[in-house]
Amino acid sequence: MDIFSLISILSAIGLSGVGSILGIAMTASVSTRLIAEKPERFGMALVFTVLAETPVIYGLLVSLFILMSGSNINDFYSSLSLLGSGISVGVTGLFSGLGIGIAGSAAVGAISERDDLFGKALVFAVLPESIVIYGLLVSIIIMRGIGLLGVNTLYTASSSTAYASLVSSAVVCVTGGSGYYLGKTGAKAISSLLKDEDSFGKSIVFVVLIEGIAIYGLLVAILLLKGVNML
Amino acid sequence: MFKPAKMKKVKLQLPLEQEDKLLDDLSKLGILQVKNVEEHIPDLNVLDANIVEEKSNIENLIRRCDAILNRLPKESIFTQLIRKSNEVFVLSKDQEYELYTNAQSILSEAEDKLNTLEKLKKSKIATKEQVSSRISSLLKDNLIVLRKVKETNHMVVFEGWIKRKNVVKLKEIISKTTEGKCIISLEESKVLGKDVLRVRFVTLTSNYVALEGALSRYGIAKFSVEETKEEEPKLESIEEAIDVNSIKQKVSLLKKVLLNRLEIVKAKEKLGRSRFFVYVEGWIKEKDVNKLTSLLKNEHYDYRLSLEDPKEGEEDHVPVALENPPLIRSFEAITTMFGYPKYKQIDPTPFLAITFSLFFGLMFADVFDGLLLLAFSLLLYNGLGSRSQGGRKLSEILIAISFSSIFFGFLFGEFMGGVVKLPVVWFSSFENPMYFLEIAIIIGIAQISIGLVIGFINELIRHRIKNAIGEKLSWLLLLYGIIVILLHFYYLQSNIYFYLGIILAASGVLLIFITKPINLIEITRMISNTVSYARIVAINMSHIGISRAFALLVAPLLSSENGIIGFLLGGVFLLIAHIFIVFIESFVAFAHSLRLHFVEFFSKFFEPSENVFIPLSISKR
Repeated sequence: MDIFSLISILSAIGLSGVGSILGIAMTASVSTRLIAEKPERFGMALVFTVLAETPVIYGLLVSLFILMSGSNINDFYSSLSLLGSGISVGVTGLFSGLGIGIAGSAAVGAISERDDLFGKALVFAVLPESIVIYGLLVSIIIMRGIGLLGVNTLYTASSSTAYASLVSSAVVCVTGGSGYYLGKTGAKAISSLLKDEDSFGKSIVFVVLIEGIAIYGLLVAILLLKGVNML
Repeated sequence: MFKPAKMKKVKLQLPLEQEDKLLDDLSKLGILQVKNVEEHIPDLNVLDANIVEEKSNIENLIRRCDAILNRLPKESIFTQLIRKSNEVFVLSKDQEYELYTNAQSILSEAEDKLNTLEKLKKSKIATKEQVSSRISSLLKDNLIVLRKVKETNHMVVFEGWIKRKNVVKLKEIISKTTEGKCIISLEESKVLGKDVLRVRFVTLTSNYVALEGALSRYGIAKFSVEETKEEEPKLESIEEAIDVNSIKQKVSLLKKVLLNRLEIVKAKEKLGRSRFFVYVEGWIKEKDVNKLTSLLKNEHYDYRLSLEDPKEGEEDHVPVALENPPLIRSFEAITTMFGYPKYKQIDPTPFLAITFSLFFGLMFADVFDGLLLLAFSLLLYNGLGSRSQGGRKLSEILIAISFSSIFFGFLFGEFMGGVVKLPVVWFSSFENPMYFLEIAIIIGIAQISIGLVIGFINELIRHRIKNAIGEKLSWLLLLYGIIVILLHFYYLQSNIYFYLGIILAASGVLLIFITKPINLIEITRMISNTVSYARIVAINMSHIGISRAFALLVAPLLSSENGIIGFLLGGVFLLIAHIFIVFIESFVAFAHSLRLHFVEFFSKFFEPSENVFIPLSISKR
């Protein structure tokens, strides 16, 4: 396995891991305070805490794919493409974990006052997770594009394939920064639910405006990869 | 189905002395939402000091009930989820009244018992600590701390504590003195730490004196039974003595009675009264009108009743009740999480029931994981579902969506990430992600289109033609115009499709421009809404990918070389792994199905109503 594959694994599991650690730590610290006062809400608090674990699971998944099949990759451009795959899930996982942590801790705070807000708070807490899902999608398309998934023979990547993979990965990572702000606005929206529960529908419109940026990033990434016949 | 229930406005007048009976009968039927008459008939005497006082008393009593229930020992989460409902009590009116009038004394008695329980617990813990420190200090100077538990004509039973390092010495002494006629058992002391062992031995009574003498040479501290019986107090037994369950049952029952009473008192606050009559105003579902009239006739009320349809322009103030067939009724819980649709507008629950199950099934497609989820859902249905309405609805939704994931698992040929090979009926989502992406986007476009059509109809119902054309029809035209142009480039080569697409898209843009030009900014939102459905593919692939990764890890264990032990170990590992997958991935799939409906679908048409139909109703159990 070459250096690019190793860096790819490192960024996939490492960065998404850091995101999950921060996210879980933020939510868990509020949850421990909540269950000391209201132990019956342990289950709800656990749901929000576990939510921040998903980025590292996706990072782990990509790492496992590379570990299991990456040793078959010998050409330089395929390795370079693989680097894009690992980075996209790693960086988006980092932002996603941060966002989930911020919104999740606000959600735990909200259910400590009113447990009937669980469903609505969950929607806001889950929004930043979309970012790592987009990163994972790009990662899967790249891995699939160089023949790492689902087929027995590996393709030989061209320079354009490798550059397109790196650029599409960079696009998803940069726009994935919205995950952090999705968490912040989500947290505000959750606290406004405490004042007016009916604000849910309207707040969600504002919050997903930020996510729209990440979706444009995903769209551009998909079109780029389509342009080099990786789709 | 598709529309909230039709409502009628009720105006009812009857003698003052029949007020209590009417409210009692209505609360049992649960068909009428009582409206506050003070808002539009201020001349009627609404506020009654007795009612206000009674309400505040009941609220205080409910708070005391909650405080008592919070002090009682809690069940574990798993028990809470799967425990079946206890025996159901159906109280007669007299029993209810008795409980209500004796509420103060019932609560005081429960509080006293709880105080005693807590005091006992504290004293037990204190005694336990005292005994532990005494035994520890005695063990410093003695070989053993001993007490005689039982003595008969033939045998004597000892119990005591000894340091781990002295056990060999003890065994030596016992075997020498009793010539091997002694049974010894040793276990770690739960209280005194790992260094100290609890010892029990039985020997012949004839050996007693010799044994005591031999032990005393090395130091023996005697403890009386009374002194040490508290060593490891069993708190459960104290709770049994106080009968915690009976307190819980009684207080829970009382709380229900109080909540019922509170409902009636709150309704009383909304009625209008003069010297001789009481005036009730409210809303009733059209289909329940017969129930109301038969009640008034059969129970010999001296009444004057008028029923009216909602007036033009009054629709926004009519309370909304959803009406769906039993099969999809539980999905109303998801719709109402976002809000209730406005009166006369379309209820999206039937669409949501189909698409929610579809999305979840696509994201969580695996026969084995679907079966695991189904098993958990059935446990939940029997447990939490038997105790609360919310629990029942949630478990019914989980049952429906687990069937969907089993169905798509079969279509995609997925079972435990390929541990069991199933034939692929449709296509393998993991092998063909690009085809799956196309399917996901098509499903997304279909759902967005349904949303826009519902929005169009809603606007027409409310006679907002400009909105119907400018904000709904125009987007439909634009969306389909773009789709036809894309189809022309990728599949349909004829120029006719290109021009058709251009015409559709241009007319859409034109309509938006004429009605509300600022809305043109929203074109990007439409694109992001459509691309957002790509998450279905990503979540499906992550689910299958994780399952396959576990399957690959276990593959060496399952190979024939390891025989039955390897097979069993591998099976257990896979089962644990899939329980973890079901917990994490089903939650992700559920949350993102929810998101696709709330953000992408509901945003096209949903205007939440502020008025929800909550009839005066009491729990009869």
